[in-house]
Amino acid sequence: MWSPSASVLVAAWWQRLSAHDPWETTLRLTAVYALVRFGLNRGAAGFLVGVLAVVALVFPRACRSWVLWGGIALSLAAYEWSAATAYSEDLLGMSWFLALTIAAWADPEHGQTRRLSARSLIGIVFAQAFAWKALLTQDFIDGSFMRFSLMFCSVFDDVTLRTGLMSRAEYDAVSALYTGIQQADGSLTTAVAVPEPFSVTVAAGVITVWTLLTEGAAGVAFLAPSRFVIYRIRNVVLLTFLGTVYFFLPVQGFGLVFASMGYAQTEDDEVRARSLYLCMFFAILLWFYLLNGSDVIQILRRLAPGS
Amino acid sequence: MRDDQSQLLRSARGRADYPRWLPLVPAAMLVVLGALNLVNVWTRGSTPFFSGGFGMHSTYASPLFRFFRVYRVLPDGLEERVEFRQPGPLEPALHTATPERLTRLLRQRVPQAAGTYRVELWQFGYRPGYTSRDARITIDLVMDETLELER
Repeated sequence: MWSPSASVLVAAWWQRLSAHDPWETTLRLTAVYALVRFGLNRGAAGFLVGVLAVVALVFPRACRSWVLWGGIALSLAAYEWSAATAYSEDLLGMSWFLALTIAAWADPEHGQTRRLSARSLIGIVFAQAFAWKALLTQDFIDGSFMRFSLMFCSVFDDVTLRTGLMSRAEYDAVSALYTGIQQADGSLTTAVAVPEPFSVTVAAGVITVWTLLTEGAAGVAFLAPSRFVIYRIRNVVLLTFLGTVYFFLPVQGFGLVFASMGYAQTEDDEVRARSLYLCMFFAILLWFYLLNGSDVIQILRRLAPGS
Repeated sequence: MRDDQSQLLRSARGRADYPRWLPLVPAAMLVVLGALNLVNVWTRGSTPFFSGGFGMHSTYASPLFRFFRVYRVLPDGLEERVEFRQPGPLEPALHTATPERLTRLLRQRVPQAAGTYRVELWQFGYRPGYTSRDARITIDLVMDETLELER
């Protein structure tokens, strides 16, 4: 099935992918992110973000303008200012648009500004996420939070059902328990027993350890000075995190913005990492916006031997 | 002429004299927002999901695990439970339950509401136990607020 001509085609495609100007591609990836995440919602401000993102994608000269990126950052800032609460992913997106505004104004050619902004943003977000999970609360680090989340959190229910972590009957039982407590009055006089499946206990343990390891490593790797060994493996750490977490969790906005920032912070000679970030960006886009990722998981389960 | 050209070229290539700390401004902004969110979590019972707290899916203090119970206070002091459809996770009152947000939520969800109401905000928790068979679900009261609603 795999022929030499296919290898040549892949090699040519890879070479072409690697030859893209990093600055131009960073701006285009971010424009796609702005369009799909904010252009289709967030009211009038989102509409303006969408229009500016389309302008950036169609007109290369406008795409390089700091005025355009400043306009996108300001539109989103206006929305967040007027909103009762600002979702943290929106604030990360806004910070990244601001970083691109600064980079386009100050140093578009050499890319040092872009790299420093992207690295510090990735490092700070992962450091905060790790601090919350490992230092600021006991809920996550003892594994109980993921056990509870896999059973009761609406974000995970599709994944737990389709991967077979819980059967439909088990899911219905814990859902009834959850709803029953909401509908009752007063506090629970005795804590209620939960029929937790063993598969959930195991999966939650693995997810807990993996999340702590990858988020902690990403925070350290992106904030470490360049002479440290961990700095040199930062792309491996971030790509591993993106490839394992965002295909199971439906938080694609974070996946897209991290892939864009990861791409933007690469050094000129890190061609392979840059190509992988590019592939990751489009894989997340395809997985969540064109395919339904959890449908794919279910199809793979059906194809698995013994199913 | 040459000066004009070099000036044009420089403006196209950026500014060599920009402050070196400028690229760190976006990250510094996130640090400040994260610190403010932490203060809000500790002092006002907020969640780390919003306002730059990057603690999503790390603690039970989450809009996904909070719910309301609403009671109407009758003239004789007794209370009756009000049927109340739980809001989605983006509801600001689930994040930080101020009286203003609760009043607005109550007006949206119970259009005929008038008089005295008591709103409880609860949060789920979990005691994992030594084995999965010992696991227990718990709830904690986050906030209990009495509101006066005019017709």
